[in-house]
This record gives sequence, structure tokens and C-alpha cells, in this order.
Amino acid sequence: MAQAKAGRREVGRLEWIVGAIGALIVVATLGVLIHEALTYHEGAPALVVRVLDVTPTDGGFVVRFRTENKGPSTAAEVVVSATLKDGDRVAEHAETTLDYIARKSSREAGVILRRDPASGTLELAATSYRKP
Amino acid sequence: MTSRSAAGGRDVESGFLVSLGRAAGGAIVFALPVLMTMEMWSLGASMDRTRLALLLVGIVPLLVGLSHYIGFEETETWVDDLRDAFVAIAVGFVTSAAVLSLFGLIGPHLSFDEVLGAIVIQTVPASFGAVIAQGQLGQSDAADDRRNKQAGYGGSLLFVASGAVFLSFNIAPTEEIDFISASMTPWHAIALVIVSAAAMHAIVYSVGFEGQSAMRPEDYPFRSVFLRNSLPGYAIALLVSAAMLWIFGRLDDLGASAALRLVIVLGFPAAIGAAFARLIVGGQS
Repeated sequence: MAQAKAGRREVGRLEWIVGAIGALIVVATLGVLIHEALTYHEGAPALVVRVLDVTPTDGGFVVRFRTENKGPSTAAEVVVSATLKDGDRVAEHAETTLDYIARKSSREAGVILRRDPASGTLELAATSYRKP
Repeated sequence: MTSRSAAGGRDVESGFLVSLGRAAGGAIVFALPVLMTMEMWSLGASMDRTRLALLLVGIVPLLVGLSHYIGFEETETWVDDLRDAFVAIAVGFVTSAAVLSLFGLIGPHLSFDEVLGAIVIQTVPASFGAVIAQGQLGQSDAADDRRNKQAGYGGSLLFVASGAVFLSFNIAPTEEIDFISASMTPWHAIALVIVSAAAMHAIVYSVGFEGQSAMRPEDYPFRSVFLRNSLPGYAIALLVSAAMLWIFGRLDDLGASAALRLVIVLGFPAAIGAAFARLIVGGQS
């Protein structure tokens, strides 16, 4: 291994560079975290559900959707319920639970309906969550 | 003349690359249990930002201390130790980011918050692993060996704290400690305190004597070792476990007695980790 003959070891330029990168990572991360800590304010998660697409399959109509959390706090066990209405009558109901949606993040999921969602009006909304 | 020093420079650089590789290996070995634990991925996003920042700041002195005593490279001055600590953080950060993306756990589909948080959490055990890799996997050099012998009281308490952090870090975010502390009666808690302290003493006693430390049976009787090493060691383990629980937000909604019980439950692995610190962290014997 690289070692100077008398005691003190030679330190290559690369080692200083990697050390500096480490210091930079720490400083930059701290900067971001402190910025987030200062701008953070407690608030309710804002969960918005958006349908991505509907795919007819042998197992039913797969409705893929994306749930976005636009709020400042993280939500766990987010229940998204899908209701297919035929006029005033509820034709079909499905529910799914998303483990976890961090603040300013989104998760994709799906529900599977037996009827074509185009046959009525499909309502998708987050109905409950838990603080992680 | 110039060509000879250039060749020497290349040797220095290639030697450093080898130790970087070894550090990355150590980082993966130590971070793998945390990398593959579900709680740890989401924690980074939901954790209080100030506490996450404190965690990152808190590991720097521990890494500097570890680097001073066992080293990732032979170190002489505190500038060397500081540089080594930051090298370890760089290695830990990059290794964690690489493995997390390999698992598909981080990527452009997640917010920046979530990605950064996940990487920072993983960086803690990974950078420990990077420093320790030299102590465990590599050949330690004469200078570090000598200093390891001379670690002294302060140094041994530092090892103890590092060992406690290392073992309790993986366990602190899990649901299981809640279940354990909920199923324990106060008598169980008392028994656990006694067993933790006793186990710590047994390990410190046997490992201390086997190893190269200054403790010798004739120099220090049972009572002295217990008072000077085991009890302060257990106290440090409890403090570390309280700090870990607080950083991960586990104490936030708990009453005083439930919180204390949780600290005691986590204090058990912390004490074991602390006691084995000379094996896990400073194992040169």
C-alpha cells in the first residue's frame, strides 16, 4: 500500500477530492434539509386522484389512477374509493389502499370494475388516511 | 526524478482506489439490513427534517473518532481524520444511492424530498461500514494498532457509543419494539435492565481481558470495571437508544413511562452492540 518510508503517509490528490465530495454532500444535504425545515408548516395532506387510463381486460376494466399528495404532510394508508354511478344509482363500488404517499409525491394504483366506466360516471376520491 | 514521483503518485492513487473499493464493500455489508427494510425507505420522507439534519451532523464526530482509532487509512492529524470521515460519507452516500436505485426504490417517480431522505438514512450505516471496513477487512497498520491500544477511557466510550448506534439504528424504526414494550410488565422491564447491564459487563470483562486493552484483572477489580466501564457503557447505550427513538419520532406521542420502557427495550440491543463494539468496530485482536 502507498505509504511513505518515514512515518507520514502520502495523501493523493484523489483522496482529497473524494473527501471534498463527501464534505460537499454533507453541506448540500444539510442546506436542503434546513431549507425544508424552515419552510415546513404543519398542514393537512391534499390528496388528488387523477385517472390515467382504462384498459378492458378479461378480468374486468382496469382503471389506473395516480394519487398525488399536494399537501405539506405525509399520508399513510390512503384509501381511494371508486364509485361508478349510473344516473343516481350506484352501479359499482371498489376500493384500494395505498400504503404511503409522501408530501409532494404521488403513487400509482388501480381498481378493477366489471362494467365499462364509460357506461356511467366514475368518481374516484381519497376517503381516508392515517398519519405515518 | 519527475517520472519517479509520478509513478509514486500513481501508486498512492491506486492504493487509495483499492481502499475505496474496500470501503464500498464495507458500506454494503453494514447497510444491507437497513437497505432491505421497508420502514427505512419511507422514514426518510416522513421524518422531521431538523432531526434528519441532526442525524447527519451527529454521525460526523462519530466517524471522525472511529477513523482516528481504527482508520480507513493511516491517519496522523485531525485533518486526516476529518477527511477520512468525509470520504466515508461520500462512499456511503454513493453506495446507498446506487443500491437503492438498483432496487428501484428511488427514481424519478418519487419526489426529491423522498429520494434525499432515503439516501441520507442509508448513508448512516453505510458510512459506518466504510470506516469499519478498514478495521475488519483490511490490514491495520502499526500506527492504528498502537493508537487502538492507547484508546484510553474517552476512546473506549466512543467505541461504546458507536456500537450502540450501530446496533440500535436498524431496530429503532421497527414496529416490533412497540409490541415488545407493550407486552412487558414492569417486572419484565426491571429484569431487562439488569440483564442488559450484566450482559454488557460480561462482554466488556471477557473481551477487555482477551484483547489488548489496559484493563487487567490485577489492576482493576470487578467493582472498578463495573463502575468505570459497564455502568457508564449502559448509560451511554440508554442515551443512544433514547436519541435514536427521538430522531425517528418514536417518542413523540408517548407518555413518560411508555417512552422509558421503549428506551429500555431498545437499550438492550444498544447495550449488546456497545459491549461488542470492540469486536464489531475496533476488532483488531
